[in-house]
Formats: sequence, structure tokens, C-alpha cells
Amino acid sequence: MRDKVTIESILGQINDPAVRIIAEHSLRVARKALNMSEYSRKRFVVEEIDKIMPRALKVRANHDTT
Amino acid sequence: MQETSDNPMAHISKRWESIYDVLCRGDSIFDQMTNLFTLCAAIGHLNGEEKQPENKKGIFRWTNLNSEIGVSILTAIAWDARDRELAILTDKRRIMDIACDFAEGGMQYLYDNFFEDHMQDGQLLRPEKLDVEFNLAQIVEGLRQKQSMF
Amino acid sequence: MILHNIELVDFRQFKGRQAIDCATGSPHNVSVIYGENGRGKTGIFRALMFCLYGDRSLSQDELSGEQKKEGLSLINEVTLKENIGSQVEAQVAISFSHQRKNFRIVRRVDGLMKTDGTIIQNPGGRVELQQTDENGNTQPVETDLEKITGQIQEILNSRLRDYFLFDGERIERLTRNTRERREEVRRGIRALLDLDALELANAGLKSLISQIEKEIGHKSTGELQRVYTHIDALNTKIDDLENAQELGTQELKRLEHKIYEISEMVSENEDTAAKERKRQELIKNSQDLKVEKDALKKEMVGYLNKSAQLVASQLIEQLREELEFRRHKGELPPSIRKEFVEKLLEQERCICGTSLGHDHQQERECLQEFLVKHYTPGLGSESLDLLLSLNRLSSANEGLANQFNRLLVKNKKLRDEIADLESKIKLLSDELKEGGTSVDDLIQERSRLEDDKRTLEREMDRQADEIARAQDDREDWLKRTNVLEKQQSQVDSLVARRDLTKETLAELKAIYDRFANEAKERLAEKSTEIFTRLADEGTQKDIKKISIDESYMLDVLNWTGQRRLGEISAGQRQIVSLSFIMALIQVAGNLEVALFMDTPFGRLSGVHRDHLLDTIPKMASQWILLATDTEFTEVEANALRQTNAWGKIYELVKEGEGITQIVEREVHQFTPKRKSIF
Repeated sequence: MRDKVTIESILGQINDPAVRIIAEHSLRVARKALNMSEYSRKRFVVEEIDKIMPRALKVRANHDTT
Repeated sequence: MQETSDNPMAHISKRWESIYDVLCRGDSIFDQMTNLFTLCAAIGHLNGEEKQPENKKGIFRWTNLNSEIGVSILTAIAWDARDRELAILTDKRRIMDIACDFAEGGMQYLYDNFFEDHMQDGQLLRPEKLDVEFNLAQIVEGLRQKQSMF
Repeated sequence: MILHNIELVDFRQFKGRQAIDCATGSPHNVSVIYGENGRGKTGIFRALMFCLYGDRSLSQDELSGEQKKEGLSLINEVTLKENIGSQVEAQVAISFSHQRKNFRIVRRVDGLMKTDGTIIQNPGGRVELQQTDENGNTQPVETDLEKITGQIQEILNSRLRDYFLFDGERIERLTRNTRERREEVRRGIRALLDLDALELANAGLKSLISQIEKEIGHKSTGELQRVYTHIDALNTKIDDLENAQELGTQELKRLEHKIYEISEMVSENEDTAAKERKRQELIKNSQDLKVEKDALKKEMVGYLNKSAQLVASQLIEQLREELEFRRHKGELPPSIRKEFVEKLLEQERCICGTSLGHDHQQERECLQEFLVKHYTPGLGSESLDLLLSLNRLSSANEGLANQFNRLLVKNKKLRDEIADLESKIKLLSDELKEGGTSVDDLIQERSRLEDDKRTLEREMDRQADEIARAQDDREDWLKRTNVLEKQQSQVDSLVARRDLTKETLAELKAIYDRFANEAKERLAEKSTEIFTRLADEGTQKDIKKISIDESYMLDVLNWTGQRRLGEISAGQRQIVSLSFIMALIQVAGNLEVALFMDTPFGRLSGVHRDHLLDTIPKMASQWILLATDTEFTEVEANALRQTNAWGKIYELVKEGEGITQIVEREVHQFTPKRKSIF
């Protein structure tokens, strides 16, 4: 539906699969973190993004070789 | 690795490292560093030359010593050097410390009497051409005879 | 979130078990809960907030700090009175669906009434959530408060709930021209559109980048590069030297060949032939002796490994004698362990079974004497081993010294013989050189070649040394490289991480800008579009457009484009708010959400009500109205009936002091108490 602009649909259009993984994951954890205290939310986001990094890098490495 | 009194480390000065390397590697003269170290300690003791290694480098541990020659001779040296107290016989740490100091003195003697003329930039030149075996043997024989003079 | 059923047990004024089934699905998606003021409409709204979020008060309650903490008393007071002194439980259960899954959440609170009439309500409560997935599989009941809170937040975030579950007053407040309200709208837009999450994600990515860069700074040095350069230089040096050796070997071969040729020519001359043969023979003899000397060297190596005992032979003898003396005195420990003898004495029994008690005093004393005599402090069990070793060394010493001597003497003899031979060879060579024969030149030439050969050999020896040293050196540097490379690979992976994070941040920033602007525009456009459907003619004359500015502030513009939010009436503001909320639902997407409105029409004109009743059912997934008799009259009922969306009507009937009964009526037959608002 043209009226609806969802962030997911935009993130889904990111070409680079590694960037897409990080972007989608960042948004997901940020949403979760918004329910936390101001103090801990950013740290949580940083830690969670860091955790997904190896998977994204692996995807990037595979993508680069193909 | 941590230093333990049960299995102390033998140390030499860093400057002797290349000589130990050349004389003890592969099919060279000494099967193990322990043999050269024990010879040096015996030489140092006989000459009364005791000095602490500089820039210490660990080369082996007590348990690597040959129990017959290594342990017996190093123990005898320590016993003699410390007023012939029998209590030292079981103190591996002290025995090793004393042995290191005499081994330092012994290597200095070998250096002064032989190696010095054949070294360049801290390295022994063409050891295979030096007839190290008989030169060392000659020095040992001289020292052996020196004992009976006392 | 679509509400299916709300069930209340002894909650507020709803005594006993009472339930409301909500109209769901198309076309009947409107439910009306109708009641006069004071009948408990807000109680239903409270039940919803309590059950979903555990709220015990509403923002409109205006409670003091202490009261806010405790919350309102939620348990039906009549039931409490009937059970004075005993625990009574109130419960709200809501069944709802969300993204094709069904949920049932139940929250309970208990308390009691004391004889003096004070009510004590337990501050804690119990909650359970059960989920049935799209295939009809029911999951086990979840009772973990934290998990349930998380799940509900995911379904309808508490940041957003105020935009869907609200009372009419709130709707109007939303567009009041105060800084606070504007901020609230801004938060709402950002929350609904996920812009706040996106901003947080960006902030997280930024922090991660600086964190990684710090780590890179710690770990990377130019060291590895320097080491590579050094190793490179060593490789070149070794290559050059090896090439030189190769050339040297060829040159040696050439020289040897040349020497051989000349020797051949020389030997052809009879005068010199004899001398030359002799010379060759001597050279051969000398070489044989050298081989013999090498064998001697090898033999010597074996003795050199034991040579320390020669230098320390006297010392060995002295310690051996000392220990022998001690042994003689009985001071060396026997092979029987001291602890063993002590144990015998302690147990007063020998291993042969003999008692060592008082009647065997003699045996006892014998053992005690043995202990004193044989276990001298300082002489451990090792001393016996040491003595044995010293004995062996001592007896081997003489033999070793003899062998040593023999080899030294033999070596000296060989050395002298070689020297003798070499001087003879030199002499012969000189004679051949100075012989003045016709081969004179040849011999001189050979001598020169032999000099060249020796020089070359020396040079090649030097090169070989240098190669060996460079190789050792390279070995050391390569070891360092391993360590540094490990570090470097960490740095490389950090750099890869940083780059990926940077790319993601750039991408998200671009998306944020594009999305935020697009969303703002669409939101303003949609709000205006809905507004024109909802607003009456007069309002439409006053307001041309709803706008959302740079900082997400909501405003209305008149025909000339001037901001007019501060000047419009409360009813008009309500329409603007509703338009905005409906637009949010449409723009934000994926929002399957019930609009739950308490007293929605209070301030609206008749035309506005008609428009609302006509429009909202078509736009919202579900609409639940809590309406008073003054705002929901026959006019509204008829209008709603005409939409064909009205599915359920409940009336709140007062049954006595503190008790309200929820009674379901027939939509087609229901007649509100008033004919119209006028």
C-alpha cells in the first residue's frame, strides 16, 4: 500500500547483504533498548551490534569471493 | 614459566648465548646445554671465578640435568663453595644459583683463553674450522692437571 | 492488536464475573459500551491498562506521589466488605489477537478489608500470558513477569499506547498549543515511525565505531611493516650470498681444472715429474691424516660431554669421602623410611607381630636408638643416591682421564705429522717453482692459481658463515613476525568491523533522512486528507492544511499558510487530533490496532460526529467506544447503524451501591436514553 512507509521495507532494499544485516539488527536491538533506562540503552545497542558483527563479516567475505 | 624452588632454571648471560648455541646445536660438540653448563661451572669453581650473569637468559631447568654428572657435580660445587655444609645438598634452588655464578666465571675463562680470538659481532666465526674440540680438550686437560697441584 | 474479549472478576465496580465480547473483523468492527457518567466506563479503560501494562492508576487520576505508587484500590469494595478480614482477588483477563496469533493475558491483584474499613491491597500481582500461534498450537502458560512485559511491549509498545487507547479528553489535549503537547506529538510521531529507534541505532553504531577505532589504535603499530622490510632485506642478502656461492663453486671448479691441466703438463716434463709425483703423494698423505684427525675429533666429542668430571675430579672425590665418612658414622639415612619406624613405635607393634609395649622394652629402645643414629637433619634420602653417583663418577674418572690423554696425544702427533707433510709439500712446490725448467712458467702459473683458489675458498667460507648467520637472523625475525601477524590479523579484523559499521551508519543516516522526510510529508498529507473527510464546512474554511514541521511539531495552516493551532476551538482540535492519529495508523504501517476511545464525542459538533462515525470504522481495524448517554444519542446510534460496522453494544447498569452490571443489548433494537444532544 502506497500510504505505508515502513522502515523494514527500506532496510530490506539495502543492496549490501552485510550492511543490511547490521542495519536490520541495529534497528531491532534499538527498538528493544528503547524500553530500557537512558543509561543502559546505548551500551546495550553497542554490545548487541558487536555480537552480530562476525556473522555480517562472514556474509561479506562469502559475498566478496563469489 | 614460573620459577620454582623444586625445578629452578639455569641462567647464563645473554652475551654467551651464541657460543652455547653453536656448541650445543644439532650434531655439534655438546649433546645438551646442561653438559657445557656443568663444564663451565666446574671450570669457574676450580678457578674460584664466581660472578652473576648479566642480562640473564634461562636455558634449561633442573630436571633436564643428567642425574649422574650434572646433579652430582653441581651439588658438589655448591657444597664446597658454601663452607661444605651438608644442608645445601637438598637445596636445588641454592645449588642452581651458585652453579649459574660459577658457570658464568667458567665461560668467561673459556672466552678469554680461546673464543675471544674467533668472535666477531658476538658470533663465533667458522666454528667448523676452529678445531674447537681439541682446543677445548686441551684447556680441560690443563685444568685437570691444575687440580693435582693443590 | 485486536481485542476479542475482556473479562472482569471483582474488578472495581464490576462485582463477580462479567465479560465483554468485542466486535472484530469486517464489516462489524465497532463496539459501543454505553453508560451514564459514574457507571464505570472509565473502569473498563482501567481494566485494559491494568491487564496489559499493570497500571494501577491513569494519568487523569491526578494522584499524589504516594497514591501513585500504591495505585487505586482495584478490588470490588462490596466483595471486600462481604469478606472482611479475608483475602479477596480481583482479576482482568483479555483475549486478543495480533499478527495471526491469539493471546490471553490474565492479571490478578489481591487484598483485604480490615474491620475498621481500611483496604489493604497487595502491591504485587500475578500475571500470566498464553499464546496460540497461527497453526492453532497453544504454548505453555508464561508466568515470568519480565517476559510477559517484554512481549506486550513488542505487541503494543507503551510509548505508543497513548495514541490508540485513550479517552476523548486526551484526544483534545494532543493538539493543545503548549510546548508539552507539541513535544508529546513529536515523541509520538518519532515513536510510531521508529525514528527514535533509528536514532538510537545510529548513536549505537557511532559509539561502536569510536570504540573499535580506539582498539585499533591500541593494537596497531608500524612494527610489522618494519619487520617485513627487515626480512625482505635479509632474503635479498641471503639470495645474493647464495648466488655468490654458486659462482664461487663454479670458479673453484674452473681453478681446480686449470690446476689439474697444468699439473698434467708439468708431469710430462721428466725433470719435474718425479718431484711432482712426490708432491701429489704427500698431498694425499696429508689428506689421509686429516681424515684420521676428523675421526679423532668425533671420538673426542663423546669425552668432552663428560669433561666436567675431569675438571671437578678432586671435588667429586672430596664430597664422596665426606659422604662415605657420614655413612660410616651411620648418618646417611638407611633405606627404611623414618616415618615407618616412627609408626611402629607409635603403634607399639613390630611388623613381625611382636608387641613393642613395656614388656619388650629392649626392642623398643633398639628402635629408638636406630632413629637417633640414622636420621641426621639435612641428610635426606637423596644423599644416598648422590653418594652412589659420586662413587660411579670417581671410579670412571681415571679411565676417562686416560682416554682423554690418549686422544690428546694422538691428536698432537697427527697435527705434527700434518704440519711436517705440509712443509714438505711447500718445499717441493717451491723447488718446482724455482726449478728454472721449461715448465717454470707453468708451475708459477699453477702456484698463482692455487693462491687464487685458497683466497676463493676463504671468501666462500666467509660467505657460508654469513649465510648461516643471516638465516639464523631471519629465523628469529620470522618468529617475531608470527607474533606480530597475529596482532595484525586482529587489527585487520577490527578495521573490517569498523568499515562495515561505518558503511551501515552512512546507509542508516541516509535512510533516516529520506524516511523521516517522506514520513513527515505523508503524515501531513494523510492527516489533511482525513481531516477534510472529518471536518465540517466551517472548520474546513478555517483550516486548509495540517502540517508537520522540521521538528515534527503538529500545526494547522489557514488558507494563507499561517499557523493557527492556537486559535482553533477544542472541538476542532479534537478533529485535528483524530485525523492525525488515523493518519499515523495509515502511514506507520503494520499497525493492526484497536482504537479504544473513552468519551470520544464530548466536544464535537453533530456534523463532526456523523463524519467520525462514518469514517473511523473504515480506517481503523477495530473501534471500541466508551460513550456516555449525553454524547451517544439516537442520532449517533442511527448514524452508526447505517455504517453497517456496529457489531456489539453493552450497557453499564447500576445494580446497587458500588456495583455495575455489564448487560449486552441487541444492536438493532438498542435505543439510547436521549434522542439527541440538544
